[in-house]
Amino acid sequence: MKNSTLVVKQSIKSLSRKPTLMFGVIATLGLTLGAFISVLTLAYYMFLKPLPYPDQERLVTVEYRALNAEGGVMGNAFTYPGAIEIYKNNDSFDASALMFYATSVMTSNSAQPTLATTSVTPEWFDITSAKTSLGRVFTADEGLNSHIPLAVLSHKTWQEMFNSDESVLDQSVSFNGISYKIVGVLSPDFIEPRIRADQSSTSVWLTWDQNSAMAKETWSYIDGGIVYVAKVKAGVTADIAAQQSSPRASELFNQNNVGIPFFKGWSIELIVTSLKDKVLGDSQKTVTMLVLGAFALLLIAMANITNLFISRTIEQHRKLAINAALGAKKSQLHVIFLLEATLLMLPAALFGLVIAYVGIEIMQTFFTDLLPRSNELQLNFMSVMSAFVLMIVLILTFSRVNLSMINYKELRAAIQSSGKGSGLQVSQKTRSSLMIAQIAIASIIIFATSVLFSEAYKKVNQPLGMKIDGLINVDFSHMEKHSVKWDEMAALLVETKAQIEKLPQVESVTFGESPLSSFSMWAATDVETNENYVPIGNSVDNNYFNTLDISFIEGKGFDRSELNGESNVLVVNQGFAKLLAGNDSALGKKLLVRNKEHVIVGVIDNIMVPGAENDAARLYTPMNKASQTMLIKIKDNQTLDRTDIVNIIYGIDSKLAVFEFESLAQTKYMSQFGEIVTIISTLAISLISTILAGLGLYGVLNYTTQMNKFELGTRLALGSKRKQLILFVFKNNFKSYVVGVSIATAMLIIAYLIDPNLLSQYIGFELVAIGVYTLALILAISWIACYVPLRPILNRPLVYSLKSGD
Amino acid sequence: MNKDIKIEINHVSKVYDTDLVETHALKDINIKIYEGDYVSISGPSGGGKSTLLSIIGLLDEASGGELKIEGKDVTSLTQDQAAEVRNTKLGFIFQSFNLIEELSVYDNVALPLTYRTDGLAAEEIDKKVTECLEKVSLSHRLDHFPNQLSGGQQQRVAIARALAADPAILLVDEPTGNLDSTTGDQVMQLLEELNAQGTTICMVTHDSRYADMARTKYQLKDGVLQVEEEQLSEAV
Repeated sequence: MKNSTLVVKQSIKSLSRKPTLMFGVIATLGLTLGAFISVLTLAYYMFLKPLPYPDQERLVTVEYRALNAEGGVMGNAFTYPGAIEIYKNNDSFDASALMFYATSVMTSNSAQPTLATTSVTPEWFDITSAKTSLGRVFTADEGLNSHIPLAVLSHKTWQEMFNSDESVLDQSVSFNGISYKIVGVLSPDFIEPRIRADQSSTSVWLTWDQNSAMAKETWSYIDGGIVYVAKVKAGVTADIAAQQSSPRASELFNQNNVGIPFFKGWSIELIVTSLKDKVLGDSQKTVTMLVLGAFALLLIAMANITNLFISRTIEQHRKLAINAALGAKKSQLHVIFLLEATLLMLPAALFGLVIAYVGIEIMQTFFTDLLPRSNELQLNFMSVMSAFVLMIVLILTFSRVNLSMINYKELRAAIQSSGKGSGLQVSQKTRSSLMIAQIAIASIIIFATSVLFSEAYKKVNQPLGMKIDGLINVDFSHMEKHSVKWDEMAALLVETKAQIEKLPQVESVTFGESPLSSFSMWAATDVETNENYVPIGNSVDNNYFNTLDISFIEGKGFDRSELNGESNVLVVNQGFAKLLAGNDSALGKKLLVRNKEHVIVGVIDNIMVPGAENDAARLYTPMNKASQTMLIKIKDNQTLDRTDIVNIIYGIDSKLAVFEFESLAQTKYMSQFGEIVTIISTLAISLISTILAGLGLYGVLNYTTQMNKFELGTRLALGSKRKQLILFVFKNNFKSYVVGVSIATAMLIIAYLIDPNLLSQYIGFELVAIGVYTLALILAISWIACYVPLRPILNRPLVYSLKSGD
Repeated sequence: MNKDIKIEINHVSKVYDTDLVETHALKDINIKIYEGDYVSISGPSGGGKSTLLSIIGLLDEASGGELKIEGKDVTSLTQDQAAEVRNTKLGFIFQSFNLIEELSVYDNVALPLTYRTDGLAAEEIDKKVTECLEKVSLSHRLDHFPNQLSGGQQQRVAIARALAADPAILLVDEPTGNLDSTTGDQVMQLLEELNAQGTTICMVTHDSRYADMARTKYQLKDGVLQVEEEQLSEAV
């Protein structure tokens, strides 16, 4: 068109007279496009973007896997000397770094905060090409056995705990009583690879030698804190590296554990995994589901907007007819459609980018623990390009839909026939297709989100088999823990417990680890059968089971007199009892635990701990005088702060520190955060798709009803009752419903056949129930979408429906 | 001869209340239509003819007054009760036929019978539909669809449909409005024949030629009903 400015102006003016249409299109498309772009960006980071480290394709993590004589996996963590050995002697790696993840109490700070610390050998900084914004990282001579305690702060820690103080390099920081000289602050651009799913971002990097690993000389103790990262030599694959290193690791393990019957026949396998796979973990499925979910939402939105465009074209029919009569060519009409689609899609795409930005911020703030690499996420060129490409596709699609609706020849004639009988109509086929598409997509989304919701909801709400309300887990450490004797430490802890019990808000205190965070695996051997087990172990006092309200199936708990380190009694859970004695009583059975024979005196109910199997074997011994961990039960409606406890221990011994202070409810919340996020997001997606599908169906049916207003009025005039008319309209659209849900069912079956793992874990009665629920919900939406447009016809005097019907 | 009163309208009025102005479409209308009567209501456009017919047909509500059909007060019925009355007592013939395109001639005529609360048997419906189509001489077009028929034929189907439920009265709104004069005459002829056979008819038309075919003639001007002069003089 020659005068393009004029045409643009006209289009803007024409659209601005339709604020509802503009708002509807921009909001619906912006939101769904934004959601899609943000998950697409996440998928790009997960599937395509290399890790931000040099030679990232050669970076691997190495794990130590202990197998028993039968080949069963007994543990997936290094022994300390095992890790040192590989670090010193290996042929497969160009570079390797040892790391030890810990949470440590910053004793140089009066509030005694607990920070995530990682002890590393200097190569770590080379492997990740970490740069500093202040000072330096560790040098080669500050590595293994240098015994110089140094610290490098993360940029965030420097900002938040040291107020971005430039003179920080003159300062030291103390953890667990050891003073580390600060030598550097990492650059804000440094991205730490999240190697373990439960890992918090490191606040302070410490030199390796001072790490808090226990049993540094022992080959029979595995420590989950140790992580080994390496760069394989060029041409060496992960498998080759594993094959090269495993035999020697196994040999050393056996040589050093010779004479310990428990380890007889064990072997060590080194598991070498590419760093990228390790970082991504098993979240690729989640991200694929997210992309598919967001895409499905986008499709529903597109169907909705197609409706809106169709209504708009119908509305504009006369205007278009006049244009045609005045000489507008078909191509010129196409330009009008293209222009209008562009004027709507452009702000929608921009709004979509804003939403994507917000979505990425949300992922970074809340989901770093759930979505790997979300700490790296940024709205990038790929995001903008995908928004642009989607925008172009949408513009072409919508203008094409509009163009396909009008017949240019008829359009020119329309102006001569005063509009009678020449009204633009959307074919029954188009209407049905739109309805079927929306019903099918919404059914799939609602079904899939309901399945995920139901799983997550069950996990969050399953009875724990114990009461955790009002309980706080407090873990103490001593700054000189390597030199202080246990009797002295126990006396301090007993005194601490007594003082805490005196606090007015405290109901009771019991020694023992929180059942929600205790995952220490203990070795136990059945004395009778010589069978080895690795149950979760916990040393507790005589009030532990009462405090948690854990019930006994048989036998009893511990007596106060047994809390002396001398007794040889044990309590096991039902899961362990079943392993030991099948359906018989496990009472009286003898187990070799910590080189001492113990006898089972009680069997408790299984407890449900998030992240553990419900019937995981558990074993409890009476503690020796005290325990470094206490559970504090506070009275109803009372609160207890970390500082209340810090104040108490400060009065007892200034070298005691509060290592951890967390309510069990919070622990449960944190460990079920993934499920909670699933519950919220599936609810939101389900709700959005229900609303979008509802609106979409309403759009089509509203149009159909308007088109058939005269017929419906005639039916009423001939004596049809309200119910009969509603049923008539519903029946007319029932076919679309049946076809839509059938397509959805077929697609789900195809998805199942392609990847049976997708649904296999859910198959059962519940899946049928969710299927019925989905069908019922979609039926209800369809019914409402049929009924609402009918209401004006049913409720206004009939004469209005019979007017201007032709 | 003492004939039954089919329709009785007492003091019916209709006011359209818009934001700016109150329009009195009907003012104190009083009519009695007896069994076998043939009433025409004519008058200029906008005079209130169609409004009155809509009120009689329970398609619209009066602002005041009373409406009785076969002696029963139908002024304030629920929507479903009104539907029942429309279905059993009233037969509508519209200017634009109002046939349903997707239904065959047979199904169009059978339609009101399917809405009957007493649920007629298929044979009974079949009998009635055939009878009515015979009355309008269209029994050979049972399986045709409305768009396969001429305008006059379509209007005859509409008449057959109106007759199907044995209504107390046929309410006829501009029956020839969409027809050419020859076909219009044929339709009017048919109505006359039906009336001769005993069907009560109330017809709205702006065409004085057709209005004159009725026995009782009313004029509706500016919402006020006037009995035609000759009738008045006859009455005197």
